[in-house]
Amino acid sequence: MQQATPSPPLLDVDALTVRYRARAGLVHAVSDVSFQLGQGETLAIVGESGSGKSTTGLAIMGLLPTDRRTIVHGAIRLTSKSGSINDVLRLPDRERRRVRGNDVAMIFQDPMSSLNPIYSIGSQIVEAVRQHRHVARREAVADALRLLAELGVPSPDRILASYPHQLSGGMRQRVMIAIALSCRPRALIADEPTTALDVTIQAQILALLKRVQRETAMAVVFITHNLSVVAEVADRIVVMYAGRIVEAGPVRDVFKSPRMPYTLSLLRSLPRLDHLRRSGDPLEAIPGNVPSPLALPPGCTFHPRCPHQIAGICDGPMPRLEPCAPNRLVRCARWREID
Amino acid sequence: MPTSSPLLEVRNLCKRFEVRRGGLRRIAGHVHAVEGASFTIDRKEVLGLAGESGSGKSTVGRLLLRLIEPTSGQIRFDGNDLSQLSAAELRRFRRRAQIVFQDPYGSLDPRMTVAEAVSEPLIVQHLVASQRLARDRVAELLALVAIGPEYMDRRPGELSGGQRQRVCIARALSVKPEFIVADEPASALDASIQAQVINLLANLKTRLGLAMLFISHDIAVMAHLCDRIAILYLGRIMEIGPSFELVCRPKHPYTAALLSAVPNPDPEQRRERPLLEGEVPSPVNPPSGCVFRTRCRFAIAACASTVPPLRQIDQDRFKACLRDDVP
Amino acid sequence: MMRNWRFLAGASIVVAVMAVAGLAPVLAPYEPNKSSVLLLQTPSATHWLGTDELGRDVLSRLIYGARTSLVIGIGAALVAVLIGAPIGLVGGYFRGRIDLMIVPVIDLFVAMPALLLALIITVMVGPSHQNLILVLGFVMWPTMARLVRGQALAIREATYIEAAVAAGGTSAWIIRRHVWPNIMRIVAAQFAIAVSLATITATSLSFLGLGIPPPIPDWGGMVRSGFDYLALNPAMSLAPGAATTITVLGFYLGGSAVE
Repeated sequence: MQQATPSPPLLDVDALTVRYRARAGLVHAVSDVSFQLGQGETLAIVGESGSGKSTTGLAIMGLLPTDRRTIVHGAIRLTSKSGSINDVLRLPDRERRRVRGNDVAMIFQDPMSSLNPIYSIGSQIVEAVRQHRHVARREAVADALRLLAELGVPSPDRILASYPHQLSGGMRQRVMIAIALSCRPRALIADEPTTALDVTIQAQILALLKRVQRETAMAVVFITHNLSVVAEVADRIVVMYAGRIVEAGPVRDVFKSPRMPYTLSLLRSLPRLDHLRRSGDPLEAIPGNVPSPLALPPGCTFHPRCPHQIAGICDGPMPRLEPCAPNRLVRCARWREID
Repeated sequence: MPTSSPLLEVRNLCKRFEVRRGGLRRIAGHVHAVEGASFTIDRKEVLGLAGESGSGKSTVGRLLLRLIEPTSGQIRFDGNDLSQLSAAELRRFRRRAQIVFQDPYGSLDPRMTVAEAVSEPLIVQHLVASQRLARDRVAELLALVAIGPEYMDRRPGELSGGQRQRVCIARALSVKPEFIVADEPASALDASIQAQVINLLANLKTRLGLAMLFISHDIAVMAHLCDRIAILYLGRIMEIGPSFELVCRPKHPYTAALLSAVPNPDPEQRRERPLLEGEVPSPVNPPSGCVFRTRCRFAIAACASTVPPLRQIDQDRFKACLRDDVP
Repeated sequence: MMRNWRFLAGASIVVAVMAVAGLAPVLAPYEPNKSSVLLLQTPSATHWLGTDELGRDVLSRLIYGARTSLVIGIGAALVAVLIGAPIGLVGGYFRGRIDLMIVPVIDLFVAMPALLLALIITVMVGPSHQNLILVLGFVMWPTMARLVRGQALAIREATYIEAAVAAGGTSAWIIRRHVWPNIMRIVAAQFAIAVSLATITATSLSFLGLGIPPPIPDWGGMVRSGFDYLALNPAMSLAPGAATTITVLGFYLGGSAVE
């Protein structure tokens, strides 16, 4: 399934399927996921735990485990800076390392675990820079200082000399972004980058990312479970549930009229400051739990929790992901009937 | 609004933790976790305590239950000074005030079954003689939180995060408390489960007439569930007021900044809002005067020399700011 | 745990050794202390491991020697647990003054080599079953205490402990219902390892002449006396040496697999 994007796609994920062989059985982490990302675009991948969104991010970076227990199908085509198009999943390790950081970079939720606690910030940024560009150490340090200043970090020289545990969460995240951006990648995968941050710091980081995007036309895949953040930053949205895409489209359209009941329920379950109900009205919660990846329900994986499910239709064959409007896809057997 | 005396009265509550460094463990400084907090909670009222990291909100929750001792200040529960309670009185207090923690994964002993965990307060309070006799009550409590009796003999490892949190709520309710501290009860859960837990708490509050201190960093949830909200910054209360009014018309610059930073799930509302710059200062070395002045757009010279008192500006509205013309 | 090969291997050895020790009167073909004129025989059909310098059957002495080793090993480990576990628990859970007193003691003992310490004390008090058990237990309790203390320290930070306090639980209740059950496993594992340590230390002491005095059959002593006759009947030393190694291995494997 291809979606039309205005410019030739920077990233083309084609029928990505990732399965793990666990002791208890076969885990379907990601099933048949396809989407494209153009230059300067922000695509949000939304889902809860078990949706497969993080696995998708890791797959794009070529960071999936390469042992026999991981089974990967499909293709992830990345247009590198040189213009060549490579399938990340089929690249040999050495090529992957060249792509990683250079053409596409990733930032994670918890900077504490991605930063090495025994090395200073400066040495980590410099190492990242020198991995992809053969420059002298002094030049790399100057680059690092410039980057941090661009990202609005006060006293960057002091930060360079500090160690990860001495910095606040927001500062660590800025350092992570600096490392990720050090080679000016064309695409950035951000996996829950602000989930662990205070809301005022989150606002700063999101504004920062937007500014960088405006200045460099960098594309971003923003992985999160937070729909409010998606509304702030994303152009397009892909909603995942239990490893599959269940809805996709431009953010404004999907938020205004979601067609997949899961998306609708998610939106309705959020308490909103702009539409304050007097306290007392319950939030519209989604009953039940996210299914275990080892025991997925038949047919539409969401149907046991869906207020619109009909036996015989929703528990039968898996609904296909089909267009319900120009540029919009939905995976629901009943999308036409549901208002 | 309140017809009788408040259930909980907190006056000038302070908590400072010692920071020890060096081989001889010398005191290098103090973490000013909570400074001069004063507020009340009426019976059957839900007060929200909102704040970001370093605000001291979790510390306040624990202080109210005497899980940690205050450095100074007074806490009165139903008229009784908590620091003056004897051991037996303290035990009885624990029957009337309970807590639900943030971490559903660490709050339950992995070696205890659900039934054992839920009945533990009943047993230590000598309200039932043994585990076996408590089973009916446990089943009742689990039904209150929508967990089936088939889970009674399971271990926490077999339950999801949302289910564990509901077990913790059932456990807190077992001794029929009048007051519950809910410390970020839904923060560690998936979005679709958060709403379930929040609804459950709202429902229980109405059915059982509970008073609650609801601690969270999520103002949107708080505005939904709480009657009043108190905003904490670096251990000090910046503003207190009824939820709806506070959220629609904040009277303190920090409250305004906090509210404007909250993203709304509406892409049409995307606008460039003024950002709160900088980071939260270290609680070991809080700024002099008003602790918020280092990031406040409206700070004046007086803000550095005077600690603004929490003063009443309206019926049931308090703010700790020298200026009246902001935000 | 049942599928863990280390545990199975270790447990099988331990069970086998215990069975041998328990069934000694049935299994041993001869009286262990009965001397005969058949001195220093090499292994044969009548004496599977040959005889020693007093004509005693090596196999029978080996079988009875298992009793000595187990009694001392398990006894010493028990002493170590009975002293060390409560001390570690109290120090780790309550902290404060008690803990401040315990920690230097533990550090001191941990720094000293067990064998050396045991040697010095045994020289002073003289070797006997009781003394050996007490000395070895005394040498090992600080390590046990340190382990238990570490676990107690970690557990007391758990949220479920705070929840139990909030419910009104007393310290006694919390230790009994929450701390001890979560520590038990580690204590059991460390107990097994302590047995193996005690056994090897006891055997070493015997080898150095400070073990159980003759004529009680004891593996360390057998290795020592067999030393002089290695050319004539090597089984005299090799057999008890191998037996010690296997027993120690058994306890160690079992203990480390439980951890």
